[in-house]
Amino acid sequence: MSKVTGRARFADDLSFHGMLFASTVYSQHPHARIKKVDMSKAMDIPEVLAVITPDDVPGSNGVMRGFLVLAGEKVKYVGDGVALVVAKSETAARKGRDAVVVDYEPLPPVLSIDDALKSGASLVHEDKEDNIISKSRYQLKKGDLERGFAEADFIVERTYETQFVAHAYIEPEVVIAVPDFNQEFMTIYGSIQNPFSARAAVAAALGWSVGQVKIVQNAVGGTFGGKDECAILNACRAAIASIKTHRPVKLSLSREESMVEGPKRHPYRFNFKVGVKKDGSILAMKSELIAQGGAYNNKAQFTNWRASIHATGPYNIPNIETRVFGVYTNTIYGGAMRGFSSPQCIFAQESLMDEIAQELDMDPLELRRKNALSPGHTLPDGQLLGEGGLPAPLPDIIDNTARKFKYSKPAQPQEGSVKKGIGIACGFRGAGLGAEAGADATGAIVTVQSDGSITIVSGLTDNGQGLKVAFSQIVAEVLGVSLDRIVYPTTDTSIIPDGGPTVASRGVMIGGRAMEKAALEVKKKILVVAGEILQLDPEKLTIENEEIFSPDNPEKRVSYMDVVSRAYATGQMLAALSWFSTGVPEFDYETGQGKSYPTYSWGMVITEVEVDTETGLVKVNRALSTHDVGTAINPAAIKGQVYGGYVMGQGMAVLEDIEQANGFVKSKNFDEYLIPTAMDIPDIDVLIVETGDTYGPFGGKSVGEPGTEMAAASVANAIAQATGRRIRNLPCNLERVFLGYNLTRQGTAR
Amino acid sequence: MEKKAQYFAPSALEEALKLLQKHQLTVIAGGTDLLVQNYEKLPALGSILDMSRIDALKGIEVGKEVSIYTLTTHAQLEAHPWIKEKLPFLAAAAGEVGSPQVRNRGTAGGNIVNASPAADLAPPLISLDARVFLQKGNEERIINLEDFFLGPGQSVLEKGELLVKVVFKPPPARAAGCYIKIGQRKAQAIAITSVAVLVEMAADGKEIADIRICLGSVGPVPIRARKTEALLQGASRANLPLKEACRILEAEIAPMDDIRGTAWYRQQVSKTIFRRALMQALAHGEVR
Ligand SMILES: Cc1cc2nc3c(=O)[nH]c(=O)nc-3n(C[C@H](O)[C@H](O)[C@H](O)COP(=O)(O)OP(=O)(O)OC[C@H]3O[C@@H](n4cnc5c(N)ncnc54)[C@H](O)[C@@H]3O)c2cc1C
Repeated sequence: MSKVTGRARFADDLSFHGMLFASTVYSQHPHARIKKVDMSKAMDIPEVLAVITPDDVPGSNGVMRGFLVLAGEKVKYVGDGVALVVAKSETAARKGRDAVVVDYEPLPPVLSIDDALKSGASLVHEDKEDNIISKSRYQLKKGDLERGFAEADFIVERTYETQFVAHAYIEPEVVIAVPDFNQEFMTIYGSIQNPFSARAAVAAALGWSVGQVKIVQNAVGGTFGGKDECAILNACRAAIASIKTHRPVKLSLSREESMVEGPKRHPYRFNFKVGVKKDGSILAMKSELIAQGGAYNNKAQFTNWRASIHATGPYNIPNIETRVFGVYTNTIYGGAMRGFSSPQCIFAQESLMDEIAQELDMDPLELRRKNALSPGHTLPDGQLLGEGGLPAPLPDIIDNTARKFKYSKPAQPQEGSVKKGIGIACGFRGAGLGAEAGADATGAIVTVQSDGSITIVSGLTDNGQGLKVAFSQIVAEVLGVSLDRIVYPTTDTSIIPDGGPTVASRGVMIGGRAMEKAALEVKKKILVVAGEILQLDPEKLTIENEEIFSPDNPEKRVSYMDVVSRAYATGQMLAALSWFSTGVPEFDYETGQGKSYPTYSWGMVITEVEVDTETGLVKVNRALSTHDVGTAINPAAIKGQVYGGYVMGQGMAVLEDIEQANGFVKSKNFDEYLIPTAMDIPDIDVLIVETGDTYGPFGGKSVGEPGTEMAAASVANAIAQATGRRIRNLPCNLERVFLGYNLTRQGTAR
Repeated sequence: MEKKAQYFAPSALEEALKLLQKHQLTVIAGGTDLLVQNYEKLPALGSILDMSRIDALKGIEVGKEVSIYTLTTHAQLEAHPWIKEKLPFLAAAAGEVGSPQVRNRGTAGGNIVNASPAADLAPPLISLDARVFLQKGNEERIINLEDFFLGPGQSVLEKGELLVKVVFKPPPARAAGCYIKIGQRKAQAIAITSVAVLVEMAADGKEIADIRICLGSVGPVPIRARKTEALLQGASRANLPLKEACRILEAEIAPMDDIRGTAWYRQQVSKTIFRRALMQALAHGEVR
């Protein structure tokens, strides 16, 4: 709400006494050795107080699996920071930045997946044997692939590719490091998605323990997974500058800096080989996925693992072999972005389904219905669906979505140059982190204050997705009190133990469970005190509308406030710190078999487009997005997530692409990096499906990422259906739609 | 060190012209091009002449000739009753600019002086044979808009010279125009290619008496397709040499590759939108 009224204060709105400003000197080359950094001209500027190089990093210059606070020996992409200029004003810091002279010896850059894998390719990281990201390899094996192919009536082989996509948050990264003058302690204010990751990196860079660093997250102007590595590196730089100057230091990135330095959605290449029976049943699927990691990697091992589980889609395929790995390139890098590899996988997988349907001359809806994972089937990881297993609502979702949308394949061929197309995409999504990194755990603190207000603290952060509201609702519901009593202060890493990052749609699922647990513990304590007052067994009491009573004897009751007063008067604590953990899942990383995720969310999107085949213009008319959310805790918030998510997917489908030329980013601002505007948004309808999944709090499951992951695939399929031409690499921009292939990339037709 | 920048906001045109003689000034109208182009280096703009108080530079006059004064915003142009009725294609072009915010600030004069080959007002105004009135001190020059542009961001406008107004004759009743723009999305999109076609039918309504065609974003300046016009002059509506016209048009434009599109795409799609604009203009002509 404060964001709507303009009252919210973002990191860039904050100012501290004596605060200095810093500006990063960025690399001028995608790949080059640094021969000399001459800072004398910058230091000549009166307002410039310091120029910081890797030699000034007191702790570790390497953080987050190989990212560098500042590059010292060589630059690996154009977003590498080489030095940091600290000055009394932002203008002087920028002037200083421009006055630093860096002498480079350019090296041949590795710009694409093909470049990276070429024999004799130059090495992005010279301490590694090749350009393959270590620990980014995963595989999943189910059944007998060769037998599956042998029994198939025909084989389909296809390759798909996706692009670098920007999060396009409205607020670029901003951090402020504020030193404590009485002890070795540093507070970082900033728009940071994952305060605990930031704390670890800043502490490492300073050579301090994590307890000496506190991260305070401000109102965040969008992150979608992105305010992470880049924001954290800048936090490290600001902290070091602050130590060196003994002053608070602000680092506020311009849009251009944010676009060039920051993480993006990983591009993937998908090579599929599928064995299909004439009746449409898919017997075997082999897939090879290659992620373009860019210059540094902190996430591909996770995105790739997720991809390895999901690459073959929500279909009952008995024989599967999926292999995935990532490569380094001298380009902008991939990081976390809403969906975390699933929008790419679903685009490829669902394009493939349509192409199979085309080969079979079958309605794409029918092909999906035929192969949909259903009760009695097993997931790619081997987990059972249906009776005694996990919910399997996909067949119903397909039927209900088609009915609600009034789906029918448009008649072909169509008259005129403007053609209609309808595209389908189905998806399933393992909820939470799953076996990605061991146990998925986080904490929550619920404290009833003496005035009856309730402070709740989560280890996870509200990045605009509405966690505050969801958590508040959970606590209010459990404690039977008014929502107005709940106070949710901004996340502070010094209050609660490290509960991991707010990613993977785990906010409500995992964070909510912890919150529910803490609230239940507090409830127990409230009931004990109430039992003393009412002279009744606390076990028999309940709370409703701030009154505590026994359903057997509802006359006898005491108000919530009286209980709180008594608890404080008699020295009883009405607070709890609770921890929820999934435990370490049973999972075999060699075969990808086991409990990959505790449960899955299922969904489907249908999109109708109109394509002007003479210009390539795509108009998205309407869409229906169906989501199994377990239990809908806040339907309005779910719809909000889906509307925004759909539009992000739509952008990925038809517009968005970070243009690069020889490793240099061309689309640095929103005049060149185009995302959909309000005028481009179609009518979006949301169908909420409740499966009674028992997993999340009150049965809630994730929707933050499902809302975006199927949209691009459905739009691409709709376009292909309208034009009769399949575009196998995103985005389906004007030229590709018009021509069926692309002219711009490296000037060659593809 | 830079000198202290000054800010002038006179209300009389004469004073503005005097100030321009005396100082080196950056002229600002709506600022939607100027400020965006310089947003990281605003001090480099130096001293500013803000024209927003000069009433003599505002408004649209319709008489024997139509005068659009430089400070007329796109929103005003789009909503002007006479323009809307008589020249809906010009109103439509103004309505294609950016977004409501940009149309409320951005001016017709700024659109012209900025000299972008993609400027949305240039093709329709050139197809109307518009002239621009330029003034420097006491001296006034009148130049065909078509000759005003020299290249991307470059025009014949001299230092200290102001664009006062754009003037054209209202086309005859038997004329109709059409403007089509191709952008990557529905709003806030700079043209990848654009075309304005203005046709005037002969009295019998069967032949094209006169035609003017101008394309945007397919060369360093807005391009008047004179050879294509020559082919279509006198052509009968029933038997239009469309194929030949497209072939000639293709040779008249000189698009380039840039971040918004390739030369090849522009070449192909320009023909499509030209053909569509011509057919629509003819259809409008018929209605009258
Ligand atoms: C988000 C956005 C979207 C846009 N979309 C479009 C679009 O779709 N189509 C399009 O054509 N344009 C678009 N533009 C560009 C711009 O809005 C238009 O060109 C607008 O008409 C410029 O007018 P202005 O008054 O803002 O010019 P200003 O920025 O004030 O001036 C532009 C230039 O002209 C000079 N100048 C202005 N008036 C005079 C004068 N009378 N005499 C001498 N010099 C003068 C200034 O010194 C400056 O160099 C967009 C801009 C933005 C920011």
